[in-house]
Amino acid sequence: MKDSLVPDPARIEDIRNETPDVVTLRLVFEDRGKMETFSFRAGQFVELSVPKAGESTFCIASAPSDRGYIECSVKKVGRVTEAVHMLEPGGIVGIRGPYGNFFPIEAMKGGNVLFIGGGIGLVPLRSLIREVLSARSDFKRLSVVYGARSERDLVYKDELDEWRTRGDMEVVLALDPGGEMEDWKGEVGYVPSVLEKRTIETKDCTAVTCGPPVMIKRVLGVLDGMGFCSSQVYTTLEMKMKCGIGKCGRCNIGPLYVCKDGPVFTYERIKEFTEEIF
Amino acid sequence: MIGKIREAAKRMLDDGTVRLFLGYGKNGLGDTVPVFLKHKEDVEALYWDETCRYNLTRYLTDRDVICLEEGPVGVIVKGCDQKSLKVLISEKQVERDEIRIVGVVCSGMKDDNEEILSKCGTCDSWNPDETFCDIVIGQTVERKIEEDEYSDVEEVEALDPAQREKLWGKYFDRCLRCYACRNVCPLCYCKECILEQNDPEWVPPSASKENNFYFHIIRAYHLTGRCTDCGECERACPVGIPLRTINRKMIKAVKDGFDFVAGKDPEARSPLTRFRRDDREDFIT
Amino acid sequence: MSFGEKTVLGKDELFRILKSISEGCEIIGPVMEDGKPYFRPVEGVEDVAWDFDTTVNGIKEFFFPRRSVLYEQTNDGIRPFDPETDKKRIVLFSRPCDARALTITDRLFMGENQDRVYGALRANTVVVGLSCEKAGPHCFCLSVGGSPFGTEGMDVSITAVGDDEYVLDMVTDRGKAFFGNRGRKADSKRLQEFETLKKRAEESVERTMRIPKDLPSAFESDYWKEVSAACLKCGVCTYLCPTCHCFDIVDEGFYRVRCWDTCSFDTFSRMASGEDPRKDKYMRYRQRVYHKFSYYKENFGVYGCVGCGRCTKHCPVKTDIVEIVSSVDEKGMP
Repeated sequence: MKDSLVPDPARIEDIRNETPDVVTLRLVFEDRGKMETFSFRAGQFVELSVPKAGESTFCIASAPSDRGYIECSVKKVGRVTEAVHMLEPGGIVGIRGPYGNFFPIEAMKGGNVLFIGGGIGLVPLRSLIREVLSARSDFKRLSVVYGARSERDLVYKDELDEWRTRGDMEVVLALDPGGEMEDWKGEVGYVPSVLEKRTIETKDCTAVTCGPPVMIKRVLGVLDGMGFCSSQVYTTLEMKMKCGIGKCGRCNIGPLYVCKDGPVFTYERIKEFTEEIF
Repeated sequence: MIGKIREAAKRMLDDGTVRLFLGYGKNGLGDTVPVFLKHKEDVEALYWDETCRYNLTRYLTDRDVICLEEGPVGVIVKGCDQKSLKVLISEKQVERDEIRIVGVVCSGMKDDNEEILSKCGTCDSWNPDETFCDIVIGQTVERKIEEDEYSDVEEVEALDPAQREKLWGKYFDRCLRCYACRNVCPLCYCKECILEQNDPEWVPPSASKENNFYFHIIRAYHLTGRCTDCGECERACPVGIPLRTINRKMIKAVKDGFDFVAGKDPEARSPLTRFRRDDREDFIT
Repeated sequence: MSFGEKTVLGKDELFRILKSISEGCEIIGPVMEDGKPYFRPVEGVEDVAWDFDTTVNGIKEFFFPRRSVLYEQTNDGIRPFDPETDKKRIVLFSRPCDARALTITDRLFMGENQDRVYGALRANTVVVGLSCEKAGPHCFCLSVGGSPFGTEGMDVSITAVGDDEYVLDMVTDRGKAFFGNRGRKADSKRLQEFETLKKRAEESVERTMRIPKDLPSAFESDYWKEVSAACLKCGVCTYLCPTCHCFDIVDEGFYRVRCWDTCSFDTFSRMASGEDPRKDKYMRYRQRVYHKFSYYKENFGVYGCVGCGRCTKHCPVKTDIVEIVSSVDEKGMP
């Protein structure tokens, strides 16, 4: 029997520096068959491990439509992520997954989608955005509001440029006050405030947000104020996880396990949580 | 005695001398438990008997329960607990004026089987120190102090290394790594214990005999020159590891090597945290 | 003899049978160590205690080990460590609460994404239980669906009925296959005696836990701060609990290891970023209570508790979960 806690080895094909402390790994399973059968949906995550350092949870940053590889973006914060940053192309990591639920992309079709991200929180949104763009004609208006502490903390800079210039989507970039240089042409302000200033048609629009907990909390409030129905608003939550399959007992919010019942939740569902999560 | 304890607690809570009082109470099963009183009306919950084993000074550094900056806290101490408190003060974890110390004369504590605790046999401080406590309750006990011969330590010292490894291997194999010994210890107050650090990880968290050896040896070293042999670690251990023997080995070594016993003087610094020109160096090779 | 029918045999005969069926098996049973009873692997049936108080540990660690190496990460790839599945094991004299705990943890480990280690150890082990003649002072099994004469989780149940005689009850096919037909059919006198002893054993359970119907309503109460104030945040209650199953996965050199972990610990839910949704002691204590008496019930249909009372008995500061849970309605509602 295959052990759900035993990973599959994957080779690092490419490493891109996104910011001074974020890298994106392009990973290909050593077993070609595994690569071909590995299927996931935007919003799901994997357990990525580095020998002698351990295992941590990462959202898949690439889209299901990106075939032949998966990508993970990793911010240096602790033991495992530091070990990831030491790796070089050709290195081997372990991958378990995909785990968790996903963004309901089918339900978003035919309408507008608003993506709101902060810092490294753009990672799961990127997977969804790429997936949406791979079937662009199925969606109407697409808008992205994304902010980071400073210009160098923006992840996927090339892709942001590409999205901004393709003409069929709106991209608003913002930097935290004080984080901007003189030549910054985007907005200055925290993501929730930048979002609040915009006029957004809430009808037939799904909003998807991810970022630091404090940002998500405020963004949800702003969306509420704009008139978004809480069942149209999705976010993806972060909790410490180990197993990814609802057994190790640490990522629960009430009876729900973020790894199994989440990480994607509607704001409607979050309002029902007894536990304070932000 | 209990009347006087309640009276003292009531007075302190009433006149605002303390905003919190740490004492002993009973749970529904009749077992003794630590209690934290905020109001003078609650002092009836206080109890005193020979099952008040806990060393309450442990809670003085528990940030989840007590913030000493918010105002003085009253605490009941037995003679043995008082030693831990002196170390906490000497290590600047507790300021003397942040607490009101109610010393209670003790004539030995008993375990669940009603047997007197082994640490009480050689205790030299049944009567709390009147110059250190704010109040001392109870009649001074006159008693010939039995010299501590460290026979438990010597018994282990007499074994050859292989026998010692076998002995401790048996005990450490049992260790669950529940950390009750560390968490009950009044002197294990580190905000982040070395055992929890994982970057780098000094001690693997899983309970194997080898990992458990590291854990207990590191703990023994961190307590060397500080441990006052209050025995709480051994009492808390669910699987009966004789932890006092380890600590007492170190106490004996510090006593023999540096003529120092922790917990006597709140001003004193442990030999392992200070340097003196006349420190012994004959063991350095 | 029909299935499920009780049989009777004498102690000597039972001993001989146990000895013959455990031939070639690893035997796990209750033994005294430094004056306290523990479940341990033993050399032979003769080492096992027949009369013992609640053991310090349950039998959990023989299915969900304190530490198991999942695999080794070598230069040639990942080499999974196989639990010794071909080795047959027999647990002797599990108390009903400990055996029943297996049926509770089964729901988690044997369900979706079955746990390989747990699954293998469950599959290769026969559980022979021993009824409790009298409950201990901390027992409250009747409050959470168990009984001193319960047979859930056992393959075979043994009950002492006096005169050095024992009633045997084949609970599962596996138990029957292992034991075969043994003893003589219990006559009505013996069966009556069995029922009397059962009633007496149940009456000896002195403690009752009243589980609130609406625990979620008490979530925000300050009650949790009060009742957890003395808690040391150690792992005694959870590690000795037969149903607590939380774990960590860590690397020890090139070995990936799964080991016990507990919601009591500071680091349990703390993320690398320093964020911690359960940063205070009372939140972690509340998590323990809710996981057992609310979440587990909601997710798996049973309480995560068998009423063995070990958590109360061994708590270094005598935090009594029975009293705490039972008083929620009275003192814990906001």
